[in-house]
Amino acid sequence: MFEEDYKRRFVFGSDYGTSDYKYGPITLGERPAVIENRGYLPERSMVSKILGVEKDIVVGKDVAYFLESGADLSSRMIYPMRDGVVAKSDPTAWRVIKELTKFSLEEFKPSGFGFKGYYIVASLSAIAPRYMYENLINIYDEISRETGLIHASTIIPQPLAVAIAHKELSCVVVESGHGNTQVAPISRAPIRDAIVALNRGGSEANAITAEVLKDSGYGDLAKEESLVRRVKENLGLLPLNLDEAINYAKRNPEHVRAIYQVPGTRIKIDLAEYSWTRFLIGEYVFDPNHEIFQSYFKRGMPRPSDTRVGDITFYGMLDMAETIIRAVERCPVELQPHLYSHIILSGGNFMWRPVSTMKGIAVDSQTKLQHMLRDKGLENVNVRLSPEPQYAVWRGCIVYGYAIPANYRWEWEKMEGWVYHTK
Amino acid sequence: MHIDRKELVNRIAGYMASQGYKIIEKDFSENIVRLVNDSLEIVIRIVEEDSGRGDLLSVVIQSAFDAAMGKVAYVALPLRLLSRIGDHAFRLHKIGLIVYSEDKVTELVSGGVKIISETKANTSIDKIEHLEAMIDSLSSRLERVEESLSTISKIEDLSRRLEELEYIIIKNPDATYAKPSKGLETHVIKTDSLQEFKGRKDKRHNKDKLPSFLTENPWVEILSEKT
Repeated sequence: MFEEDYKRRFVFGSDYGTSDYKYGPITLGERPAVIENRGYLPERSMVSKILGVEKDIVVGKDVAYFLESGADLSSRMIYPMRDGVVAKSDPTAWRVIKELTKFSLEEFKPSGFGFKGYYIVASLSAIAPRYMYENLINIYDEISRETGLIHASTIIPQPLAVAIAHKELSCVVVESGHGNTQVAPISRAPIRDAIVALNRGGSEANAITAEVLKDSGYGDLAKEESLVRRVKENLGLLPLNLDEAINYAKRNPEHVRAIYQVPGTRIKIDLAEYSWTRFLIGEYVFDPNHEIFQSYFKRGMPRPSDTRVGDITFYGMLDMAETIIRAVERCPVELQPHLYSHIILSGGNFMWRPVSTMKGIAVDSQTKLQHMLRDKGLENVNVRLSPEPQYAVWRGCIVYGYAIPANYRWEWEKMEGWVYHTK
Repeated sequence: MHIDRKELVNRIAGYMASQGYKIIEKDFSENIVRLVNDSLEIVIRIVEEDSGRGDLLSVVIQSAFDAAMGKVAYVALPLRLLSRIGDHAFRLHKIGLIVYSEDKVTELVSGGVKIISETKANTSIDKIEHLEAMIDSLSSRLERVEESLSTISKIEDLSRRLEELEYIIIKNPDATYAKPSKGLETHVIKTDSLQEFKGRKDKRHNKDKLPSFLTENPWVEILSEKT
């Protein structure tokens, strides 16, 4: 009983997204803390030593202070996750994960007596291989020994966390983050055999944005990943129908034109006569099959390809609606209508804003997907966007940790339960 | 007598410095002085002149923890309190005692280092932490029980008065009634009081201010049944 009370007070959510790491204890309330999922390896220079900053890896907001020239970024900045996975044979990447976790726990270290470590609930991609679970649990073990900040841990798949956060027992979760998109039907638990994955996520939208910047004369800026991402978020549009949107843009160039000034700098990006390409950015995520993208592939932009990770195929060119249909059709027939009427979109890659002056032209993700599914003959479709998609996984982690009994121990057969790191 | 807090801390720190200790920190908000002597760390917790019994107890318990962690612990008391509690307990448990008055500071009992075996210390600390967690939990449950009892008591009182009113009305159905008696008037249920009661009940369920995504979530029941 006391252990349950303790657990409910000290549950800690940890969402390792490819782009951002969302973290924090239950006491944060509605939203987690967010930092970029990256680490920086500073040069061990005399200056660093003089300043007293002997750090192997720097994470969090401090990274900005250690950035030297732009030329250093590619070799010293480590983004440990690609497509939701940390490579097995990349010890530096795993060190970054460990440092991020330690950093996050230390930020919320309680003072006073009675604290014996957090109950941490981590979330990984639905297709994360077993070694990721093993490595993460080992990291938590190390952190527990070094700092005493972890008492127990567990790991859950991200789509399950999203379903939990939305209070939906049966639904289809479409989780689209930086690296990939996972479509996971849930019915009180993930239906593992029905998961369909796309080898497309926010990074693909970044890739087309970089091409748009190059075409508009901003080739030098196209090399900075974080800037490209900001341009995507501020200038990218999602068209209800790409052909109609491009026609609209060419007929009404001033309606579609937008200028983006990077905050805190003098950099201003004006796509001018290329403003119609704003619609390509959103469309590419949902359906890369439009012929307009062929010219980009010919010029060298990588075409999303099918890849295999374990026993899961990541489809490169399947459109978003077709992906959802394939996943649902792997489920029992009597469940399918219910699943189509409870589709939840989650993840930063679905945060496309409609534009009131371009109603019916530039839309949000749920409108787009509903339209695509109806085009494929499905009528009773209900798609909703998670109100704050970037926080849904963390929220699901908190609920899971709050509810799962403290005496429910980890079993590798089920991949569920608590791993205790201290007595 | 009243000695200004800052002056008091400075006097005690100065006294110990004159005994050969090196001052590390003077915490004027917590009334703590930290010093070192060779490899020993000394912590002096000061009880102010106008402190109550609770404050004194708290300082003594914290000093006991300091001693258990291998530090030389001292309590500094005003002279008037010494006569009430004596110095025997301090001698017995090797907690140093400094006594101060308007014009004098004296070390009555020397602090000593309490040596506890590491295993025993760790076990004790684990047990203490476990007890702390239990006490916190019990404390919050007790609060809720006390609230419930208070509410029940009010309801019983209101119920009794309603019965009295009903009795009066049944006995004299045709009578016109004057204003309620002063006693009854003060106990008429007002709508906003009901709201307040409801709000308090809700507040009790949301005492820990659970986030919205946790409340009324069907997954909580399903997950909590896992064995």
